[in-house]
Amino acid sequence: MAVVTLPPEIRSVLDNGVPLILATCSADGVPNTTIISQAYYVDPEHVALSFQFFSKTIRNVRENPHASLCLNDMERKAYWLLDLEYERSETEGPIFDEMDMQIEAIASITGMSGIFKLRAADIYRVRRVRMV
Amino acid sequence: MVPRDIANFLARASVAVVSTRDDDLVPHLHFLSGWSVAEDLGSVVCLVPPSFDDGVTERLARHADLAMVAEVIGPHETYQLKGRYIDHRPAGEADRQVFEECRQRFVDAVQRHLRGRFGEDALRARFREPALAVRFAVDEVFLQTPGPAAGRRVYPAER
Repeated sequence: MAVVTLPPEIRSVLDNGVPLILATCSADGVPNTTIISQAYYVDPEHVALSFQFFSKTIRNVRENPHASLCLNDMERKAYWLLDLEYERSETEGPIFDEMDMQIEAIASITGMSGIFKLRAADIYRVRRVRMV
Repeated sequence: MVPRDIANFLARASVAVVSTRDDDLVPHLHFLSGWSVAEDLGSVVCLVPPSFDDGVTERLARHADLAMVAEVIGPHETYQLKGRYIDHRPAGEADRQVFEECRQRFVDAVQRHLRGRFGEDALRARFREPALAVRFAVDEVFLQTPGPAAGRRVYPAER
């Protein structure tokens, strides 16, 4: 399968603090949609999503690795759609620590401090990127 | 059947997105331009803009399951509705009022919550003219407001 890389301009969208939408699907074919606070740039081929308490999403990607992510590009008045494939989870290390710090910052801004708690950094490979 | 309190919630919601899936279990997202509940509470109509309608009716004809998440921006009040596709039609003038009302709720909610971080034009651009009206029946509703109860099924109520 061809390697897909994230365009450079998407990094500012990932960092804009606007919530994103994540869709997954169970092995028996039931979609699941959830709003998440942030996605994290790992490298040109990967993003990380926080595993906090959206347990159906976590269960789904462990039985069916496909996911779809929608980013809000407020500057370009557009959306970015990313097709993702779950690869692994990290519960320590630099990616986890960075995400943990940013989640606490978002939580304190939105008045949700103490409610958001990072359990793992889920790492996804980017399979397709398009702007709509 | 849409519970009355969920119908009331959808009438207050500021943003909503639907996901469908294809033959390979790949999920697809559809950012909505509007939504409404039928008067008899028997179904929900989702207004889909052209930028998010690619293949949606073909997928739904083969796999009727869909999931709609909706949020009241500000208090983060969020529910997910899971259900089955009933039918679709082109969006028309009759849908304009729903589209305009949902878009205005979104603009007002974000401006109130983020206090002018984004201009009105940028916010209005999130809601595009709808092309398609997709109707679905609701089977289950899950609470998704962030917190310890997130994921709890509220309809039918868990025992």
